[in-house]
Amino acid sequence: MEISDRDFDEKVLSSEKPVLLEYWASWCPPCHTIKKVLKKLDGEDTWFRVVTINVDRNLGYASKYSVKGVPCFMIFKQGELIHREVGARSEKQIRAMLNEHI
Amino acid sequence: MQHNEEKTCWNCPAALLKGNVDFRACGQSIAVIQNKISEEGLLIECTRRPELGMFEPSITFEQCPEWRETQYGYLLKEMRVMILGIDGYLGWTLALKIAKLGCRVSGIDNYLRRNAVAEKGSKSVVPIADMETRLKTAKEQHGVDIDFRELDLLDRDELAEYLREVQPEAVVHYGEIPSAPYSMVDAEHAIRTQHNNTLGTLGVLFLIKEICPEANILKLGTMGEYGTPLTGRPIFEGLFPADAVLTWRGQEWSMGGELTPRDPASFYHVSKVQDTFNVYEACKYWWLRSYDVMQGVIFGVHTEEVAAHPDLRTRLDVDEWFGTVINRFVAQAVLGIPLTVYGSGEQIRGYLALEDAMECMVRLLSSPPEPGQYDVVNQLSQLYKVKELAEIVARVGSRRHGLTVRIQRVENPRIEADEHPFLVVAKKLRENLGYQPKTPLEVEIDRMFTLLLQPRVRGRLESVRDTVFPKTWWSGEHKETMTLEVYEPGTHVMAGYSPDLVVSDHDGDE
Repeated sequence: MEISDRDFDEKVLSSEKPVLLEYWASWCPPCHTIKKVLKKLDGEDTWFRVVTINVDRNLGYASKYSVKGVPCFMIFKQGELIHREVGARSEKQIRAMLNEHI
Repeated sequence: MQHNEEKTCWNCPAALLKGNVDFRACGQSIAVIQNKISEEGLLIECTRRPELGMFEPSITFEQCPEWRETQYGYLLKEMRVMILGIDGYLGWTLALKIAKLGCRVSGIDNYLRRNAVAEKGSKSVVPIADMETRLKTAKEQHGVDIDFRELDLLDRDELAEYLREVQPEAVVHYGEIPSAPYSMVDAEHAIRTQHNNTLGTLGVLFLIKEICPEANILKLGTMGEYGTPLTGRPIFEGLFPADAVLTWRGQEWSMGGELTPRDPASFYHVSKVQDTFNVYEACKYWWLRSYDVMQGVIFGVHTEEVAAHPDLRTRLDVDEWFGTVINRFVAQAVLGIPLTVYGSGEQIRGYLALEDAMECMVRLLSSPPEPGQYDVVNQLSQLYKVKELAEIVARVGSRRHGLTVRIQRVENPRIEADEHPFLVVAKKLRENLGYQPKTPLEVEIDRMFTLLLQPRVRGRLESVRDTVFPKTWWSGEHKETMTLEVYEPGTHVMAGYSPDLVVSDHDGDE
């Protein structure tokens, strides 16, 4: 699910479920290729939520969280940022990230 | 449902980003824009609908009245499309097709192709009209106005002036020397090819950045950029998919989104690979948007628009430099020359009928990438072995046209793998852009025979008979190419590797 700064609070910080968030950019080829994987994870209707947000179009929270490179994966639990990593990740690596931190 | 109905202003070349959402510096938004966005929100203007003022760029193609529905998806009304190389085999054919679809078409050409074919002592075997006649006939037959400038794309001042005048919303870049053998003749030809192609493209990118940065750039690449990896690893669409992983010393790294290896097979193919890097970088540095179209080998003569009148026909070359393999085979069959298969004939390549290629290009025009996005499509409909193509051409020629066709294996003047695995992924045009191949190989071959057997075409074909046989050696040697074997169609079995084409996720590649 694509979100913006406007619903960041509702979809991420106030989410009851843990959230996997990805900052992406249109000029970032790895960000485009990962979309399909994130969509698949999002469609699994599981115990976490997956959201994506464009870094250039949503500078507020990107600035707050000092996003300097994309793709930037973040995991939020009860509104707290508990993990972040930057760079392309395979589906297996993303699942491992989720298992380790959620 | 149309394939592009959910695209938004972010994909639209009419959205005015400059000055509003100007990210054009490697994603490092400048402070002024940052402050503006934080205070006012992210708002843009539309060059086509200034009455909207500032608005959020979230209107979909389906909602926007500037995009109208066509059989190829939503298409920007009267889209201003500039074709570089509009006089060529593909350029002229596309010009007619998109003009009929309502695009405002402009184009440049310096007749390099006509001159290079003449240099070889050849000519288009299908007679083609001069540009003035073409434009006049296009108006009479199809009611379309196409604007043309005789112009070398290396002449940046002139091209800049024309781009400013037209303000294209899409630029189709066909303005390159498209021949591997031509680039392998000698130093002069190799340098001319790379100068025209690579430096020409680089100059065009600078001009687009300055004059029309939102334009959708359709840059013609070639499947030949990838080569034929002997490991048999998949040939993805330019970039590794998300689940590609590099394993080394027990550790894994995602390769998703990185450029895949290129292994060009001639100095011409090298020029295309250099283009790939230049376009890739330009998208990254300046937020240009581009499709790099890795096109298979084109064949055929037919589209509804070019077939409407003899003066609208597109060129057809059959000489060893500019004639592609199926086109040459049909010409040889008509001339009674055994079809020339190089080496074992087990080389596998991707192919696409002219008519299908044009549909793919329209679909790419209909679905521009986002600003900054460099995307790649493998544009082909089917894979064949060269030997198999010779059999098919021979079969159509004999059964439908009563010709006696034989096949000859000749020494391979190229440096390439005669036998190789070939696993090609070509999903995006089909899955994302709604393309389905429409023109069966035999049907287009039959159309070619019908046209080439017309007396006036056949006469021209006879006059270029000597230019068909390969003489250009990749080794640089000047020597005759020897015939290894002449055989009857149907007497040789296919051996070696089988072509493997993946066109959907269900093909088991992901």
